[in-house]
Amino acid sequence: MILRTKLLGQVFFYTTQRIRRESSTFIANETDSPSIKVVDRMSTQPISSSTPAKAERLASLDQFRGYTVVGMLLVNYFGGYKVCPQVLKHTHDYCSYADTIMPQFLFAVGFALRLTFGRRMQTHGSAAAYGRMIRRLLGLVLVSLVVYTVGPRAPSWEQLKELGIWNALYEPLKRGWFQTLMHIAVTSLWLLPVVHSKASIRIYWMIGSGVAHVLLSYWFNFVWCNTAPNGIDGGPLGFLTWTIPAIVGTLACDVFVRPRSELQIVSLPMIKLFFAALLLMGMGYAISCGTRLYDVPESQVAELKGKKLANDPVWPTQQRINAKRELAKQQSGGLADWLAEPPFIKPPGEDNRKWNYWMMSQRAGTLSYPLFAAGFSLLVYMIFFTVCDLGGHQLAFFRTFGTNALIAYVLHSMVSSAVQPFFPKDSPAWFAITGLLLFFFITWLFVRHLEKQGAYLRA
Amino acid sequence: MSNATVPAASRMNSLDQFRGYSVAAMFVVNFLGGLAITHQVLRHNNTHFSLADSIMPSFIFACGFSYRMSFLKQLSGADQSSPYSRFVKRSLGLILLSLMLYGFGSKLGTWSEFSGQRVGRFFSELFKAGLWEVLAIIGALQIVLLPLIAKATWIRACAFVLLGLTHVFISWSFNYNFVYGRPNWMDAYFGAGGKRAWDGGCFGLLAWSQIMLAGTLAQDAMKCCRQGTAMSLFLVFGVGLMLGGYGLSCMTRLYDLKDISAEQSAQLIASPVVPDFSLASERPWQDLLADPPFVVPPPPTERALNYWMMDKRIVSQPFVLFSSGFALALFGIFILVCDIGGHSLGLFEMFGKNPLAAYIIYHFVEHTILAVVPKDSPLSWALLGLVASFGIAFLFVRFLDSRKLYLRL
Repeated sequence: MILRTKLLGQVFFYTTQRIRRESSTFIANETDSPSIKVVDRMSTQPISSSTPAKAERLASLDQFRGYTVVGMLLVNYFGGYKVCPQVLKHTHDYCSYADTIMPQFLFAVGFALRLTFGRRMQTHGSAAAYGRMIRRLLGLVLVSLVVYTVGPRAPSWEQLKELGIWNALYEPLKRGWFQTLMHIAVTSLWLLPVVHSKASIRIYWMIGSGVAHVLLSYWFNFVWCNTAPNGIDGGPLGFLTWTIPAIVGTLACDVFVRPRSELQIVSLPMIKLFFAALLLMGMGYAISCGTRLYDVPESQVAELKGKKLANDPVWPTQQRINAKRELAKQQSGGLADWLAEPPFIKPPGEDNRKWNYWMMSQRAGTLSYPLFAAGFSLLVYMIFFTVCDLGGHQLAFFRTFGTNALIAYVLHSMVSSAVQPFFPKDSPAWFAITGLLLFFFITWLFVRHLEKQGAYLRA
Repeated sequence: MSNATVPAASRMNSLDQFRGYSVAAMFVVNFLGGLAITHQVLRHNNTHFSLADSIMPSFIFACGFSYRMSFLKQLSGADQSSPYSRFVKRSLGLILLSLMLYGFGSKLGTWSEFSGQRVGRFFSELFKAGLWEVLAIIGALQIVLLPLIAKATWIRACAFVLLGLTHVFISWSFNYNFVYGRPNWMDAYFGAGGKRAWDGGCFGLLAWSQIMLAGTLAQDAMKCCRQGTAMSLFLVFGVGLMLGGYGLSCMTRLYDLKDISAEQSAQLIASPVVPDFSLASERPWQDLLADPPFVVPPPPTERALNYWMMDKRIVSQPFVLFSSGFALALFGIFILVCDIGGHSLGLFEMFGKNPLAAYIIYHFVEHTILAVVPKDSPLSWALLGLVASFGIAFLFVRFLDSRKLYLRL
C-alpha cells in the first residue's frame, strides 16, 4: 500500500515540481517565471504573482463546488425516501454516489485553501496569514456548534450536575457537532502547517495522516465510530483521512493555476492528472479488497447473525486469513474471490460479510474510501475544468450554489426540515420527487436572492 | 443579504438603536422566557402586560416606521408602480423564510395515512396557528397594509380605529374562542377546532396591523416635525395611548368572579368579550380599576379570562393600545438620547442594522446553548447561558457587519 502511495506521490511530486519550474504559482513568488492571475471566489481578490498577466479565472472551481452542493442537496434530502435508489444513499459499507459528495467538498476546500493562503502569505506575511486563517477556521468551528443543534443534554439541573460537563458534551462531541462543517474546519486546521509547503511534504503529510488513522482505528477508532452514538463522517478523528482529498485538492490547485495554454485536454499535465486520478481510485479499490477477508462462510452465518462488526476489523487474524483461503478454494478459487465489489455496487449484507476497516465506509472514514473518493474528485474536477475553463461552458444553477456554498449548506437543512413533513418517507416516486423539486426550488430561491444582491458568505 | 453600504448619514440613529434594543430584548426574553427562575415580567403571560410582551409590538412598530419610509422613497423614484410588487415579493419572502425557520408546526404522517381530510386539517392548523411567527406576521402585515401605506395620515388613523373595532367585533363573534381553541362557529368552516393559536392567530393580523400603522403615523410626525417636537409628540401620544389601553383593560374587572352567583359566573366565562355591565353598578370606581401593567392579576378562579386583559395571545385592544403607546414613548426616549443627545450603544447599532440576520442567527445559537441550560437551572447558570448566547450571536453579527453584509428581504 505504501509503495503505491509513494508511486502516486512521485506522480504528483513530479507534476507539481514541473509547475514550480515552468510557471509561477502565487506561492513561489518566482520573478523569472511566466505568471498568472487567478480570481478566487473564496476571497474575491485576485491572486497575482510578481508579473501581471492576463486574468484567468477558474470558473470550474465555482461550478465544481456548485455541482457538489447540488449533489449534497439531492442525497441529503432524497436519501431518506423509500423510493430513493440505493446509490444515492449513505450505507457506510461501500462507496455510493452519495459518498462521493463530501470528499469533493474537502477537495475544493484544499484547492481554495492553497489559493487563498498563498495570496495572504504574499500580501500580509506568514504570521498574519496563519493568524487570520486560524481565526476563520475557529469561526467555522463556532458555526458548526451553532448549526448542528443538539437536543437538551439533561431534563433537569440536578441531572445535568450528575452527568457532568464531559458526559453532557460527549455525544455532541463524538457525533452531533462533528459533521461536514466541523470536519472541514478541523481538516483545514490540520492542513495549515503544510498547506504552503512543497508538494512532497504535503504528500508525506497525507501518507502520515492515513497511517495514523489506520493505527488509531486498530487501537480503538473503528469500533468507537461504529458504536452508539455512531460517529458521523469519520467522527472526531475523521480529519486524518479527510486530509487525503484535501491534500489532493491542494496538489490539483498547483496544476490548475498554470496558464490555460499549458492545460489543453491533450496535454502532458492533464494526462498525468488523469492517470493520477485513476491511480488513486485504483489504490482505494485495491485496499478495499481487504474486505473480502471478512466474508462469512455459509456455515457460520447463523452463528454470527446480529453481529455487525468483525472481532478483528482492522488487522485480520491468521485464523481469518486461513478461513478465507479455505473459502476461496471451495468457491472458484480464482482472483474474483479476493476482489471486492467495485465502487457504487452494494456489497453483501452484514450477515455475509462483517464490517471491517477495509471496506469503503464514510462513517468510519476508512482509508480505502477517501483514497478512492479523492481520485474520483480529481477526475470530476478535470471534467469541470475541461468543460468550464477550456470549453467556456457554465451552468448558472451551479454558479449560484457554488459561490455561496456555506449559505446553501446552512439553508438546506432548514428547508429540508420544513418541506419533508409534507412528503412522507414512504411517498410514491412522483410525490417524493415533487417534494425534492420544491426543496430545491426554495433553497435556490434564497441563495439566488443573495447572489442577486452580490452577497456571499464565507467563513 | 446585501453588501451595499448605506451611507451613515442617511440612517436614522434612533431607529437603528430602537430596533437594536428590540432585537436584543427579544433575545433576552426568548432565552429566559422558558426558564423557571425567570421573573414573570420577562415572560409572556397572556393575562397582563409584561416587558416580554412589549418587545414584539416595538419591533412591529419599528417595521411600520421603516416600511412607510422606504415605500415612499421608492414611490418617489422613477418607477412608481414597482414598489407594490417589490414589497409583495419581499413580504412573501419573509413568510417563506419564517416557514423554513420554524417549520409547518405539524406533520402529515405517512403516505398511507394521507387523506383529503388530513391534508385539509394540516393546512387549516397551519393557517390558524402554526404560520404566525413574528417574521411571517411582519410579512403578512406588509401585504395587508399595502393599500394603505402611502395614504394620508387621516386615512391611516381611521384605519387604525376601524381595524380595532373589527377585531373587537370578530372576537365577540368567534375569534376569542377560536384563538383559545374553544368551540366557535368559525372552526366549523376552518376545520381546525380545538387547536390553540398564539400571537393572535390569523385574525390577529388585524390587531398587529394597528401597531404597524402606529409606526407609519410616527414616521409622518418625524417627517413633518423637528426632532424635539416629534419627540415630545411621541411622549405625549405614547402616554395617551397607554392610558387608553389601561382604561380599556379596566373592563376586565367586570369579570371578577367574587361575590356573584354560579350562574352569573358561567355567563361571564361564556361571554369573554361582552361583560355584564350591570355588575359595575354598585361598585365604587376604585374597585373597577384593573391591576396596572406588569402586575399579575388574580388567577382565573377569581377573575374569568376575558378579552379586556392585555392579552398577547388574542392581541386584545387594551394590549394593542398600551403596547403601541409604550413603543411610541420608548421611541421618543430613543430620539432624545440618540438623535438629540448623540449617544448610542454599539450592541444596539449592530443588531439594529442587521435585525433579520441577528434574529436568524440567534434562533440557532439559542437552541445550542439551551441544550445545556435545563428549565430549572439556577439564576447564575441561566445568566451565564444568556451571556454566552448573546456573545456568540454578537460575534456572528459583527462578522457580517465587518463584511458589510446586511440581510434584507
